Amino acid sequence: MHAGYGEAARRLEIAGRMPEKNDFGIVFLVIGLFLVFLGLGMFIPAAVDAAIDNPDWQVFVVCACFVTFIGGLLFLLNRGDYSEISIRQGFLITLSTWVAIPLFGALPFVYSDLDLSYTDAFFEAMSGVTTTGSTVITGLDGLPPGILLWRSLLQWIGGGGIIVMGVAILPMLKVGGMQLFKIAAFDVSENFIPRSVKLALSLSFLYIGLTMICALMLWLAGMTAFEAACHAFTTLSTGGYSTSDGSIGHFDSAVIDYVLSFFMLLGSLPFILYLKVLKGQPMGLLRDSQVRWYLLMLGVVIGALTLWLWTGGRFEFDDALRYTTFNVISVITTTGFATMDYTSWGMLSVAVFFFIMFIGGCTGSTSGGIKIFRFQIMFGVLKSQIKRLLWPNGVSVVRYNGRTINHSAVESVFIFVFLYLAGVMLLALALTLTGLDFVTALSGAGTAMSNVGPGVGILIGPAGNFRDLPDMATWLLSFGMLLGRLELFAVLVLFSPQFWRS
Amino acid sequence: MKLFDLSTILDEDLGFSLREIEKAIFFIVLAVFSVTLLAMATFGGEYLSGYGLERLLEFSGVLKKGWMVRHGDLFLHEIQTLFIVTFFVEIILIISRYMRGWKL
Repeated sequence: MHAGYGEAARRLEIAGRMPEKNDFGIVFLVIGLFLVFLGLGMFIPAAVDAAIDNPDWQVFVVCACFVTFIGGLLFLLNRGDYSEISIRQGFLITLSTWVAIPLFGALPFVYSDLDLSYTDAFFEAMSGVTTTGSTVITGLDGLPPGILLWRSLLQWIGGGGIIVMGVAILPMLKVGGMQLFKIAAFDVSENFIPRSVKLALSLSFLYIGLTMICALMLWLAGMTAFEAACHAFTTLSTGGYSTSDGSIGHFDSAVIDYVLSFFMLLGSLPFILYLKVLKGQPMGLLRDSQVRWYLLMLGVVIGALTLWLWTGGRFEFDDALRYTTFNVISVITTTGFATMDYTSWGMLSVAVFFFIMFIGGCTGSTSGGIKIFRFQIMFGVLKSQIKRLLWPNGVSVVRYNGRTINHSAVESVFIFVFLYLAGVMLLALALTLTGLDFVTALSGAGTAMSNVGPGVGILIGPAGNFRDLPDMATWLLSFGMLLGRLELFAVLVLFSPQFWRS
Repeated sequence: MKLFDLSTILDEDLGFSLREIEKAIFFIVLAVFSVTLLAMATFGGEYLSGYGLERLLEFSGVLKKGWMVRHGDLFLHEIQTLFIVTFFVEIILIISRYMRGWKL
């Protein structure tokens, strides 16, 4: 459809306009707001360290004051009369917030007894906020509780941000077919609190509530209250940071494994559907085709691997089911907890775990990866193409969740998957240039872009650590995590000259 | 097929404002505090009620004196289980009430 004369004139008028001061003012203002709350959040680990008389509490207090001061300054200096946010500002705010939080959230790692370089600290913070779960820290079992709690809190904050972003922001920015998830709540105006705020608040209640219930269940299952809290933060957010170098394998408890598997699964389902269930649609979750595909695929992978391990004589049936269920859910939900080195199970398991790390969970959840709905749409297109070959004169449409999908959404999905795979390849190539072997580079790129956590291989596998990577590789992986978390497009769009011109 | 069809995207309204972002962040932080307080109050209330009931049963002779000393772990376990159920119901009630009249 051609735009009308007025529309065309308006586009011409804004075509040559460079970004105005206000474009950035509002961005700094929002960053400032987030930093103030990040700074205030640092007082929580400070209080925990102070309670056990660990000197790190001073580091947290100083960092908290500094971050709150910078945030407050940005907020106050840019306070002004801003009306509606434009799409460009939306992109800028989304990206800059996801960069600013790890940038400042890394400070306690630098100045605490860990003595990390800023590169490693930024990687740890970025891995936390993007809920990746890759770590450069060793000797977790002996670390003060403040640092352990801060890592977990970063993942929890990131997880919350991802849910709100996935439900409210990405559908508006039409990133990778996400326009399919634009919900009516944003189209209806209300006098008092706009519905987007209400939705964010409802999702927060749910997220906080589920985290607390998860913590309680882990406490019941045998963790200490502190371990339970830290793991609950990193489970619902599908982050995967643990309080032990042995990750969940340290606890060696089937009950803990199953409790965590259940909550990782909850974290990887669309949170908006939980609200539907609470609104009196008990079958709302299972009616969603994305959830059905996801659960079916999980069942198939877990069933096949369990049978393979059991019939191969590696484990008894109950152990095979326990280890497979936990590790498959951990990787597919992009959490990254580990109970054992699954790469030692054999080449089939290496291949399976490598491929499922790209799949990811459902959209509108805390998990990363390509996401199930994109596979559904690609499968739909494949089906439609086959139908067209068989019946050239027939009409075949691509459907998702019972609705016909327009061409642009299908295009967005294919572009996303293409860019995703190209991004993994380019990142892997760049990592090999830093001296990493091919398996480490490819799995490192995959795990970073999918926000999983562990890769494959001795160095960065489930039993490894990212500490020994060269600095350049650490920065590249940090960028990969950001790219994957923001669904590529929200980052790549900034490299387009058209974005800055229009 | 274009990699970025920015012209159509940039021309659309985003649908929310700075005021909403500020409100959302403020309310989310408030929600964290209020849900934590609710959890603490619920757990504390249930623990104290259970403790009071146990004292009453001890006083009335239904339970032997010193029951709590011997069964402290079991008591805590039962309270935790009860808390999980009540807290879950509370969260459901809060969200359902909050979303009343709202069509998703």
